[in-house]
Amino acid sequence: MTASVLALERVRRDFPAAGGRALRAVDDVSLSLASGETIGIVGESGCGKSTLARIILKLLPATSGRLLWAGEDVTALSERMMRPRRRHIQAVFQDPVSSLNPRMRVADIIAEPLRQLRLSRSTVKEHVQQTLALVGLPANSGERFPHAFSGGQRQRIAIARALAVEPTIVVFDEATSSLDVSVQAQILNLIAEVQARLSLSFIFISHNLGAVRHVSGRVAVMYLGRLVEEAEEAALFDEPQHPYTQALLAAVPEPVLGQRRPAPLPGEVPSALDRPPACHFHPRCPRAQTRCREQDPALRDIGGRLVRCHFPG
Amino acid sequence: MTPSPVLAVTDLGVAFRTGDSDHPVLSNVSFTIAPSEILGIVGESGSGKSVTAMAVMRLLGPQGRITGGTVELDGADITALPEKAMLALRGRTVAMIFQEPMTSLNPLLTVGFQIAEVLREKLLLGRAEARARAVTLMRNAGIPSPVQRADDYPHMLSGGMRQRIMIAIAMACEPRLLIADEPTTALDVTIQAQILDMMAELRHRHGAAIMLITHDMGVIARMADRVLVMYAGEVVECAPIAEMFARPAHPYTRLLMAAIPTARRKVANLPSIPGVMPSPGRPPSGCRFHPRCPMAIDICRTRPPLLRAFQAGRISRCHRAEEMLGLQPTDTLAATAMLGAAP
Repeated sequence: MTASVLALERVRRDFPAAGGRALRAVDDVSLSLASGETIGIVGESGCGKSTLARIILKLLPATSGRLLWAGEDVTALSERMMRPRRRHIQAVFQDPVSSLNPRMRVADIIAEPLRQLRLSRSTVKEHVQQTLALVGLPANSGERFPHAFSGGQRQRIAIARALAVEPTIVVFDEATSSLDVSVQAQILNLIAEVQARLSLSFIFISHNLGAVRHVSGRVAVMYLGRLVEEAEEAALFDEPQHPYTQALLAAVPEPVLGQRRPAPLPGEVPSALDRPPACHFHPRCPRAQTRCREQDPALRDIGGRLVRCHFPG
Repeated sequence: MTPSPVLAVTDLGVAFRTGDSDHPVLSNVSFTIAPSEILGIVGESGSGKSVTAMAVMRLLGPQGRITGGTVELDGADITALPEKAMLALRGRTVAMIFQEPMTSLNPLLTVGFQIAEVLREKLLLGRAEARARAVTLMRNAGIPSPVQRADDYPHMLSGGMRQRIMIAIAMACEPRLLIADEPTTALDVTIQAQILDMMAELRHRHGAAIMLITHDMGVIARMADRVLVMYAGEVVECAPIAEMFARPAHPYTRLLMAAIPTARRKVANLPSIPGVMPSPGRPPSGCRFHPRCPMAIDICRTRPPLLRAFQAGRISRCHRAEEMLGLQPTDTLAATAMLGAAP
């Protein structure tokens, strides 16, 4: 049993909405990340995956539930208490243009988080060079400004900044979503390579199922704030059990001809303010029965995977 | 006997003016689209696929200019048409939908009004008739309770519904050609599947030709009859869909397809293309793809390859296309140097 480097216990997050109502963006999510593991989180817009990322990073407090970093409950820690702990968990976001300061040289961007560590100037410099090499950027990149780099290279800079402080966990939130296919492949390979080399723990959040499969060992699927299925990568993609996971996979247009095309899922994701009672997926579910409209399914362990469905399979 | 094409683009060149100099963004782009055909145009950012669409619409803006070639809509060249004549064509003969429907819709007007506006303007329908037709178009676009939704403002609708409104507007005058530029890129996959199904239905119902621009090979596989692959402002390959997926005739196409991570299986190391696409204004010597091409040989570094036609309606801009297609070198003679429209 490997120790978990991160754990969420029944985390919930409500946002206040008009008319005194609450929008439940994340609902009763429990998750644990083992050392050296990459977990993928998938779902469509509004499913709560980015809110979950911000809770994990402790950029946003949970309304209830517990957040543990390396076994320590950090749920109630103040920002001052958090500061020395923040180096353990770093993030890479979607847009490398807005997440890099255009007025700082790349070397300073990567060195900035290292300042907290009070290292000597030469150590910092050496560290920056090592990190640049690790992410496949030329050694002279440090002297240049972000605008001199392409989108893919900027994302390498963002990854370098995240890795510079030697974190135990890196959260990637749609980190390859704004990249072109050929560049996305480079970055996905880099992520997989770095993970294997440094045995870090990664959380890879994306709406792109192919990208998630490529880098993840375990995958969690979210729908309207809840986890609906969680399984090993191969089990989830090859034999999805939840009807939503199945529909999501069937909807992805794959670059092969003559695919079997089931009818698309009817309707749209309901508003998080107006979640259907009982199973939230029932109005769109091809398998829905009376029980699904009346009784909320629990996240059950079925043969080593978790599925929130009355009629899985 | 193939029907005469709805759109025939021949040797199209486009440049944008920056400061005092013209910056070429498209060179020698040629292709055709037949009635009720879906031509997919794929390429990465900066490949020129959207500029191609804007050139066909003659919406290049004050900086953009067609520098050469012809764009024939139903046999008539529109490159030199006065703006007034273009205005009459847009919406009637050729219509366009974009990636982000929110920025294409007027937030201050109801969606029903915006559809009716097109009908009144272009087909000179009366107010009541236009309104009734708008509701029918919304119903055809798969919008539930269209009578009520017609009074909604764009912000009240979801992204998928807004895209359906855009399609309803585009189809209002039953155009001969619909240009769809990344129509589902901003949508979730389950909604994308619905919109794609609807677009496939459009061409059956109206016989409209569709130019579908996308960066997603998966969307191409699902929708297109033929594919045009663009790279750095040029066409590098054009082929019927089955032929291209079976055997790409250009190394870029092959790498582009291999680089896509699929949800169907896990690959240990995703084939990626090293480097980045050059700017069409400052292309490398020889073949524009050679600095990133694993098959590049001496000739590729010095001589720009021509767009050449091969059997089965295939076109490739590669010196080594014969090898890619598994042809004998003698077949090279049969391959005609071509810069015109597709055969």
